[in-house]
Formats: sequence, structure tokens, C-alpha cells
Amino acid sequence: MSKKNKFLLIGWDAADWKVIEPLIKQGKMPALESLIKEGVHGKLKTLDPPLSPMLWTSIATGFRADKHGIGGFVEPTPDGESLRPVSSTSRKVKAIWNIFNQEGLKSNVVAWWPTNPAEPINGVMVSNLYQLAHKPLGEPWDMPNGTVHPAELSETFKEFRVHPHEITLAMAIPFVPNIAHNKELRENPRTASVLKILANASSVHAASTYLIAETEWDFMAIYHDAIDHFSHTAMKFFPPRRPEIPEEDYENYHEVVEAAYRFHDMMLFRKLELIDEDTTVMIISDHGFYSDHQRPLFIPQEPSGPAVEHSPYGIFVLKGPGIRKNQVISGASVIDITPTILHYFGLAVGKDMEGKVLHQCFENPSVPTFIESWENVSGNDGMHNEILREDPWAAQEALQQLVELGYIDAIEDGKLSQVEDAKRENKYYVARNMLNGGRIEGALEILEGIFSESKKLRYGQRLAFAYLSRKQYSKCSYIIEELRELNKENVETSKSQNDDFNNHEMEEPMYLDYMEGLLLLAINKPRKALPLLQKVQLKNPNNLQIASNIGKIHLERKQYEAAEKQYITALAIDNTSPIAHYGLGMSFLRRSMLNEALEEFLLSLELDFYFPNVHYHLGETLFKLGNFEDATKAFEVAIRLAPGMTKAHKWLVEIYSNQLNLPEKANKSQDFLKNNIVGEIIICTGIVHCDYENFFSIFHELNLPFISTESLSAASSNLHQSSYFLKDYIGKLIFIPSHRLSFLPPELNYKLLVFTKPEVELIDSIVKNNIKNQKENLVSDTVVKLIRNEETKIETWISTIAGLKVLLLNSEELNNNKSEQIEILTEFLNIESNVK
Amino acid sequence: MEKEEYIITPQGSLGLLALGHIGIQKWRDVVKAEKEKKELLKESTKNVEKK
Repeated sequence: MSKKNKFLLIGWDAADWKVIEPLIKQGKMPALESLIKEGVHGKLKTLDPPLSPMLWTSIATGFRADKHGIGGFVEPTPDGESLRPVSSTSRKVKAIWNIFNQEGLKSNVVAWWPTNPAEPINGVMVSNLYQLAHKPLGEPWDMPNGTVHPAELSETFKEFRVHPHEITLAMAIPFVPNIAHNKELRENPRTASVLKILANASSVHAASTYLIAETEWDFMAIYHDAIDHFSHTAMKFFPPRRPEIPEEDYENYHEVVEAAYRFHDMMLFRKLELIDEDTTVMIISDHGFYSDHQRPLFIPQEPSGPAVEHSPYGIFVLKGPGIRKNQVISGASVIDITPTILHYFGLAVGKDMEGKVLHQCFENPSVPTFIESWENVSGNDGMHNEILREDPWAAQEALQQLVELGYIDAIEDGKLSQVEDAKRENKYYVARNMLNGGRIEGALEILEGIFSESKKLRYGQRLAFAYLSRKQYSKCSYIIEELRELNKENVETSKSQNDDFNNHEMEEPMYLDYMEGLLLLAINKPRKALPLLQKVQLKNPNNLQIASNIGKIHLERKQYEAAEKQYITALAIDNTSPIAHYGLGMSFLRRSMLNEALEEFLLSLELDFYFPNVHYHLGETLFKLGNFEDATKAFEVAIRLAPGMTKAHKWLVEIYSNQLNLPEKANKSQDFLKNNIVGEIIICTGIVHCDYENFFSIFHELNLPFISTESLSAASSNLHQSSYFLKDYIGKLIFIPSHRLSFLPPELNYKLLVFTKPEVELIDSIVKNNIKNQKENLVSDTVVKLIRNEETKIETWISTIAGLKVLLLNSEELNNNKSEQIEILTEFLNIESNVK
Repeated sequence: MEKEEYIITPQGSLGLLALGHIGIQKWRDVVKAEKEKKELLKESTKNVEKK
């Protein structure tokens, strides 16, 4: 490979634009401002769960947790009897510095999560245990084994560490000005935390400046955890003061966060002084940190509870030769960092990596090259080949810091169950990370395992969410029921033990209502979902997702003013939500408020360009405004992002043929439409004995184009041989038994009506029917199995059809409130394409 | 970016910490010199008292 300029990657854990932007406006972060002006910047999307060891390893590898192996903050010691901070030996894949090692490039790595013991790379590695002080000042302050590679540099680096007790009044005053005249404040544990974080940050910075200035390197990665730690300690005191925050505490600590950011800018200024102009600099954070009205009022009493303070977008800044200048970029994720840096160095991107190259950063983007996997490339990669032992005292200190920050519970001696809990917790994080990456099957397996072992509500909630994502609606419903029962038991136990009712677990019913609301939304019962979500919203007025989902319900129900209100609420919570801008735009578009809609769609795309539906509706708005050329551009982008978007092709045919008179351009979309059948077939199915006739009679009452079972039976029984006849049923309702659903060709468009009945009645009907037909007398367990089997067949098919709209119709609900059910059915069937 | 001149006192400053390893080394030199000076002064005061 050709030699590239140097690349300096700086991590500022939890740095957030909402804090940075006002400081830049006031001229308080000049170094970062200079990079922004001379380079590109934007938001960096985090992964779920937003936990630092997992995220910084994804940043350095391009993989998610199930592949890279770093799940949480702790891991069991090799003897399995206790816990230790997660170590570098647990990483299962190469980090970017290992790839560089193989390619003959020199890397320096400082304090990256988790790098202890330091890896034997071609360069210098100073591990994440380097800066931690575990003895009082004046006593020997050794470094844990494996802190520095090469080990002979250990003595040099020892001298660059700053002990918390060395921090002077002059250094502390910018953070806590009142300590100048208040001696008691100096003894306050919160002040001690601030001083400790400051000392640690200074140690990491000093090691970095030494390496930048005194060693040869091609790539350097420096990680600062201080903004995250300062924020967990003092963001609650950040202005404006909330009524719950005691005035005295606010007065003492409200300047901590601003001082922290300004100190990082000072350190950045110094680093920039030490590099040459040709060095490319990237500054990133793994997630943001709520600094406004979204700050949580309490921290859940659970492992990693403080992560509720993390917001989903971190920062991204990149400046250097060949990088665009003064541009805002969108669509970047933490998983894109390794592919982008590899591409910058002219190296291939692993096809197995999940991220993408951020082309939008480059002045002259080139096509990336790919390699099957860097894991298969042999050579000296500088990874460990054996597990090194680490200093237990230093490890204990690192754990203690995590305990102080509330990330983990204090470890009690001899409590082995805690190790088991921690293992399950790690699995839980990995499962969440997989869910977040769309690997639902793997996540389901893990969640089913840990939930059945522990019956922890949090695990059950994620399991319900996973079932929902997998469109396994009945399983989702059963889990919600089970969680409600479990929760009742927990509440009873807590009451009898006089537990503190301020426990997060007490909030679960709200979460379960929310889950049930989402489930009802997924099965196209928005009017039933609405009151549940509204109830949850009353308790969680600052929840963006709830407001957006309620907005979505109003949109679906064509209640555009109510939708507008919800999306305005959502934007008041977070005005940088692309979904809320999109929803608001839709509420305007459907009321023909075209200029307002246009503005909202453009705002949404500014925040997230990779959102095909927004491009589509932007195209529709532009068309209606008579701006046909720009409308075609919007539809073309929508198709590039979602190639199967039939409705966008329809618009292009219309505009190119009838408005712009460019028939040759219409051909491409015309061809697409010819090859992709347009229109939907409404499939009706259900579990045996769930009163089909009731539903069929409604179809007849409504004069719906329903194809009776009899007229269809001959053809449908041959579905597995030929499905061509289905094209004749576009726009009609046909009944397909659940066991034949899998024969339906996936290339057609469908909607699905599932007939259901309360389970008790269903069991009763099946048993009675068997007796009537003189078949074997089934016990209810066997019948339940039969029902589950049928449900699985239906859900399996649902999961194979992308974007399938599903409505569950229940015979009991039909009998109790026929007119309401008819309205729901009509709404469902009336959802039409907006294209002429 | 303009370079600034630092006057190092034993009290130190955030600016010194932000200078990185050089700042810490120079500051510790000053702290050490100050400590030695104080000890010397203490010693000489003791000697004067003895006399």
C-alpha cells in the first residue's frame, strides 16, 4: 500500500453537540471550532446498548458485540470465581491497529477500552488501566502488569501520571469555583470525584502528547473517558437548574460540565500544536449525553443503569488532506469508523464488517476495495497469544470506579451468584446489540435462555420486543402477560418487605403498556393502541418514541391535526429527530400545506439522509408544487436507497411520461413495474375452528370482493405447484389455510387478515369438534400445542414477507362490538397508495 | 493559533495540565524547587535559632 499521511483518532466518550454548539458560539472551544471549519462534522449514531466498552470496541473493529466479544464492563476472572474489568484478551477479532500491524504501519494506542494488557503491536500501547491511582500520593504507585507495551517504556510513562491528590486549587477552581472560599466543599465526595477525573484525563493526555511528539507513528488512537465521567457526576447540575436539584448543589457544581468540555478543547489545542498540517484528525464520541429537559430524573437501580443518561447520537469531526471543508454530513454510525479509516489508508474493507465507508467525507471519493475478512489474513497482527495476568489491585480500583459511577453494583466477597448474574447481564447486552443490528434470531435465542433462567423483567421486556420485531405476535402477547404476572408478584414482595417504591422495577407496568401499545400498532389496531400509549405518555411526557408513535397512529387514522400536535411535542423533546420532522411533514402534506411539508422533509433529510420514505414524500410534495425536475431527483434517491419501492417507480413513470415528456427515462421504471406485480392480494387465514363463517359473513355484508373457500379450494390446494392463478386475485380477499401460506410466492404484494378467537374458547371448540367427529379425545395440553403450531406457521410466513401489513380480527371482539371491528377492518383495507 | 507563554507557579494551572507531558514535567520541577527552597529556608531558620 502507498504511504499515507498520519491519522489521529481521538475519542471523547459521551461528547454531545447540544453542549458543544453553544460553547462554540461563545468562542469557548476554539480548537474544535477550527477543525469543524476546515473539515466535515455531523452526528454519529450509537448502537444499543450505549455502553462504552462494547461501543469503543465496535469503533475499533467494525463489528458488533457478538462478533468482537466485548459485552459489558466486567468479565469473570479466569478462575470464574470473581469479576474483573473486561480485558483486551477477550476481544475475538482484530482491531484496526492489528490490521495496520500486518500492513507495516506503526500505531500508538492510549487508554482505549479495553486494552489491558497492552497488545504487542508495532508501536506503543498504553492500556486503559494506566491512569488509575490506587494508592495515596507519596506511596509507591506501580502500574499494573501489561499497562505499557513495550514494557521498557513503563518507567517513562509512570512519570506522566497525575495523582488526584496533586490537583491544586488553581486547577480545580474552573470546575468548582466555590472551593476557593469553601473549605468544606474540598472534602465533598463529589468534588473528590471531579478532581480524580481531572487527574485521570491529564494522565491520558500527557501520555498522548509524549507519543505524538516523541515517537514515529502512522496511526494514533487516544481515548478520553472524562467527559462521560464528568457528565455522570455533574450533568444534573448543568444549567438550567431543574426544580428537583437543590440550589446549593447547583451553585457548587453547575460549572463542572462546561469546564470539562473547555478543558478537552485545551487538550485538543495542544495535540493539534504537536501534529503537522498533513495529519488527518478525527474526533468522535460513542454516544451523546442528555443535557436538557431530557435528563432522567432518576437512575434505574440496575446494572448499567446510568446509561439512561446517554443519548443516541455522539459527535463526528474529521479534518485533513482530501477531506471536504466546512460540510455537515449525515448517516454516520460508530460502526463506520474502522471501514472509513481503512479506506482512507487505501486498505480493503472486510466484507464481514458491518459498517460502511463514509464517502461523503471525501473531496474525491473513490470506490472502496473489499476483502472477505481480515480475520483470515495471516501475519504479525500484534494481538496477544496468551492471557496475561493483571494486578488485582489495579483491577479492583477500576471496578471501584465503575461502582462509584453506578455502572455496576459493589462486589461482595464470596458471592458467586454475582458472577453468574454478570455473565447473564453480558449476554443480555450482546442480545440487545444483536437486536439493534437486526440479528433477531440470535438475540431471541439468548434472551429466551436468560429469561427462563432468571425471570428478570428487563430480559423479558427485550424478549417481548424481539418477538415483536420478528412479527411473532402471539409469543409477544404471551410474554407481556407473563411479565404482568411477574410484576404483580414483585410488587407484592416489595410491599411485604417494605422495599423502597422508588425502584425502577415499579415502573415496569408502564413499560408493559408501552409494549402492548406497540404490539397493537403492529397488528394494525391503532385505535386500541392509542389509549395505552396516551396513558404511558402521561407518565413519560419527555419520551420522544411515545410521542412519535402516537403521532404515527393519528397519521394512520387520518387525524392530521392531532398528529401535528404529537410531532410538535416530539420536536419540543428533541428538535433533531428526523422521524419527528418527517411525521410533522406528513401531517402537513396530507392537508396540502405543501411549503410547510417541504420544509419539514428537508429538515428531516438534513438530519438523516438515508431515509427512503422521506425522499419519497419529498418527491410527492415537489410534484404537487409543480417542481417536476426536483421531484424526479427525490424519487430517484428514494429508489437508490430502497430499490424495491414500487410507488416511487410509479411516480417516475407519471412525471417522465406526462410532465417532462421524457418517455425514454420512464422506460426504466416502466420495466420495473412490468416485472413487479402491482397491487395487493388480501390473504385471510386463521387457526382452525375460529369461527371463519362470522368473518366471511361480514365480508359479504360489506360487499367485499371475497373469494370463497369453495371456488378457491381447487387452485389453492395446488399452490405448491403453481401460484400463477393468484395474479387474478389482486385487490381481492382470498382464504388460504395456515399450512399453505408458505407456498405463496414472496414477489407478490399482500396484506394479511388473521382470524383469532380467545384461547379458552378455541380449545373448547377443537375438543368438542373432535368428540363430534368421533376422533381421539384430545387433552387440553395437546390442543394448546396444536394451536401454537398453527400460530407458528402463520408467524413464520409473516416474518418472511417484508413490510407485510397484518390485522388480527378476534371473533369475541367481533361479537361484542361489531361496528367498531368493521371500522377497524375498513380502515385496514382502505390503506391505499397515494399514487394515482 | 497563537502560542502563549506560560509562567509556572507551584500552584500550577489547567493550562499546564493541557500542555501534556512537558507541562507536567515543568510544573513538577517548579514544585520540587519550591519545596527544596522551603526546606532550605526551614533549615536555615533552624540554624539561626540554634545560634
